[in-house]
Amino acid sequence: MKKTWKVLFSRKVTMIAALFIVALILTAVFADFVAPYGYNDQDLRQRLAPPGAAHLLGTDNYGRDVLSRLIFGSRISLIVAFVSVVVAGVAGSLIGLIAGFCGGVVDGILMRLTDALMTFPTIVFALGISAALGQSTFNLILAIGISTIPPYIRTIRGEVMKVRNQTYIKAARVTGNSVPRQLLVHVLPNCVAPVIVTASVGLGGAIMTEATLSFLGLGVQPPATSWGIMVSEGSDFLTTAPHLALVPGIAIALVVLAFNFLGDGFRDALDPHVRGNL
Amino acid sequence: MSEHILEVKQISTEFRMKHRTTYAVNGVSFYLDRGETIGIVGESGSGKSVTQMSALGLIESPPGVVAEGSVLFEGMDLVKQENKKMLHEIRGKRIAMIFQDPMISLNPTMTVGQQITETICEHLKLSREEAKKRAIAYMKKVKIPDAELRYDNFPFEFSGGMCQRIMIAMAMCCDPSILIADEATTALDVTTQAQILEMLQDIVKETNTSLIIVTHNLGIVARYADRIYVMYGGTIVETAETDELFAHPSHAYTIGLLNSVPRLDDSKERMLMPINGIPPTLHKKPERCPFYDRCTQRVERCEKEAAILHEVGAHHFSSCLNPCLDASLKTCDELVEKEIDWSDTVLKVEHLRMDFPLYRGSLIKKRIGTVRAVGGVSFEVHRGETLGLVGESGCGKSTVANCIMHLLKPTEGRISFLGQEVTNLPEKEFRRLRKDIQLIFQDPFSSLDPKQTIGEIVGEPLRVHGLTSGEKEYRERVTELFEMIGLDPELQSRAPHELSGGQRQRIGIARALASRPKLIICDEPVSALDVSVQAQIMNLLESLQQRLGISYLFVAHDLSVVRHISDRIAVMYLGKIVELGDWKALYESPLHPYTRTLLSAIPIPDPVVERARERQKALGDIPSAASIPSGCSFHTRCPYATEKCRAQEPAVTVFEDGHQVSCHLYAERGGHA
Repeated sequence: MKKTWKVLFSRKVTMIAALFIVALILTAVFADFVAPYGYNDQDLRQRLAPPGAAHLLGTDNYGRDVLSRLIFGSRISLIVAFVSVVVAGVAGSLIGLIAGFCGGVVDGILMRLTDALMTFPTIVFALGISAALGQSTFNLILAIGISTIPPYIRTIRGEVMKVRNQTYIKAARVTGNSVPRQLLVHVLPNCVAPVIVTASVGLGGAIMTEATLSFLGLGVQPPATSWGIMVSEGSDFLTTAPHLALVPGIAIALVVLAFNFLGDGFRDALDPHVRGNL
Repeated sequence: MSEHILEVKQISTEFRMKHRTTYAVNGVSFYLDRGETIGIVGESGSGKSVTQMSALGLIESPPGVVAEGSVLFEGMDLVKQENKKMLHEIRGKRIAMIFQDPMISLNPTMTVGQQITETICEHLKLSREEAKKRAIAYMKKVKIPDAELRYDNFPFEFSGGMCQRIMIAMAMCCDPSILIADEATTALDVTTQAQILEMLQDIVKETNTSLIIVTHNLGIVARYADRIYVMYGGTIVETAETDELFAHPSHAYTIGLLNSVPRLDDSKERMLMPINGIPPTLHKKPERCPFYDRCTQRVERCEKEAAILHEVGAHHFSSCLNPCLDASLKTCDELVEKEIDWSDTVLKVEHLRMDFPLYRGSLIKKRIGTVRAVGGVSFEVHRGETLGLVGESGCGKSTVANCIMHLLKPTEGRISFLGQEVTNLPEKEFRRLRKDIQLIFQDPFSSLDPKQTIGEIVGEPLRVHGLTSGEKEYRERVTELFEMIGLDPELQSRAPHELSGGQRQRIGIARALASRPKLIICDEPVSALDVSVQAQIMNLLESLQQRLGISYLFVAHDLSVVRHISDRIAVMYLGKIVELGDWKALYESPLHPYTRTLLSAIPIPDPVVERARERQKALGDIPSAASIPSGCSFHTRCPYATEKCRAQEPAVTVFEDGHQVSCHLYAERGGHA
């Protein structure tokens, strides 16, 4: 494990991406202290102000500070992303574990269901769920979570099928482990590496989906804010005040990029072949 | 003497990685004369293969670099840049190589005939027809039956031994001057190995080809090589003519190796002396003898001086600096009598049969046949006894072990453990018994969970069966187990991949011991280890049995390994026990023709003994378990087979001393069981 971390951070890009994400999380947590204004503080005299000394990233059409809204908005974006990835990761891993370990009919049924789920594009599926369940942050998380389950099922099932036939699983059985213990203590820990990779890339994707849904009005509801809502609101003023949509847009792009780099880093650090060559 | 066909002078090969360089071969010199067979012996990592690859320019570069030295083939230096082009023509045509795994060395999408023909066309520029004729001639030469018909077969239609014959045909078809066999028979069964080497020797003698045998097996070089080079840590430590080397080994490592290898003709008193420690990593250029750290016979000079080959006898060179080495085989003063309670049966297997159905089709499965892995096997294991279960691959010995371990459900038969029948016990109930019956695995690398520390692995049975009350007792027991297997308890927090193969196997043994089992099934526990390490594990298993009174069922393919530890031995062939008897009787007066074949197929690392032996050869290949021959299943390969053997299955004949054999030859001499 020590070696994994060492390899992970031996790459500059991964290091920068990780630092960026840590900084982002810190500002989101301490938004109340970091942000120069409240996220809903209106200054109607300063509507649609361009970036300047008083408002570093300008203001929107209600005169709210864009930087402050960006910082407060990151809270919801990050929470939605993290929780939905955890939901998808845990549920997907469990289903994948069962499918891979049981095999046969159970595997067949679970995998066909997964295939069915995969035929829907993530956005369409999430749209459907949040439309059906109504609009709330919780439902948003659920929508994103459920629609991104299939890749986790597939990755962990593949790993389980590989690990299941290893001699150390036979050894665990011979030692006298019960089936649940075999699964949780021996199979699962040897399968999580690719899930970590999928999850870190998935985080970027979840932020995107959240932004998309909020942009379409199915996500977080005003006056609460998220990056998606900011892009959505800013799009009305693209010609007069382009920074309104541009700033959150760039923020989304950067975070997605950072998570992708981190995912790449994990993939290489957890791959013994790559690790051996370094 | 300048007529050497191949002369390698002071060759050094390095692998330059980003963070470190591995000095795999350091100043190795050897020569080969026309028509001569030399053996290069060494354990894994000794640089024996890399030396051959360097000589042929087969080192992948980067990271590999042949840093210095020259390779003179008929006077031409193959390492020199201007000769690189020639090298391509020489390789395959003048110098041919055969490798360990024939299955992956052949192209699976081409028929074997095409592959041989292609080689001939490429090098000899013959027409297709002529090439085909030549290919078939060579297939006959390597004794492939019905060569004309099998010309159009694909590699998967051949057994491993047959594939290796094809490889030899392909290597020999251009009449090379040199043939290099790099562990060519390691992956094969002993009887097949003997057949292949025998055939190889005949061809080589017939065509006056020079042969280099690269192997870890001292017995093979003793039997087939004229001269031997012993390699260790990337250098040649000793070289001599075969008889001289075995009669007067003059390097501490050679002696250590001879002392650690079990021999077929050993007495029970002989002690296997393992070489302790692990081979050098070769990340530094060695300044002194590479064996220094593990040597038990080192002298003061060894620490400071570089070890250079010097003459110690006629054509005999050694790099050892100790002038008075002790080369005798060690024996123990008195044999510790094992306490075996013959009245207490720990394990009883009766008429065990295991069939595996063969299916075709993916959605709708159609049964197309049956593989009879085990066909009616009965034996008993008593308290404190070791029963050796021996046979070649595919004979069903591992299936028997898996059935006993409740990993497979037998088709028929009864298995009783400690007097209780367990054959049909549901897994839930059998799990409680698992603490009394444990398994040691063959592969020490894949049998330990890579995500657990070795302490957790050893302690797992204690946790699973709740054998210790409280954390303190658990810790004490794990520490005790580590001490029992001779590992530092401080290592507990290490991960398995940080240990060497031998250490890992010790962990496997500690795990098996943790729950104080009554019976341990050892499934080829040493076959994945280097010879010098094998002895450590064998000695450990033996001393543990003496201390703890455990019974072993020792499954192995190597009769010389089983000899040391077993009290009784059962020989299996195609799912049946053909002979079962006391170890002494079985080795000294084997009855069944198969046992005799098996025994004579194993070479003894002593050329004098080797020449005096009477050898019995088996005919042909082992039949597939999906189509077991009628009557006595060995009749297809038995030199004594009669009409009766083909028609009628022999009954078990039991002699007065308990020796059992299933063979018509002995039917009249003993009583029927």
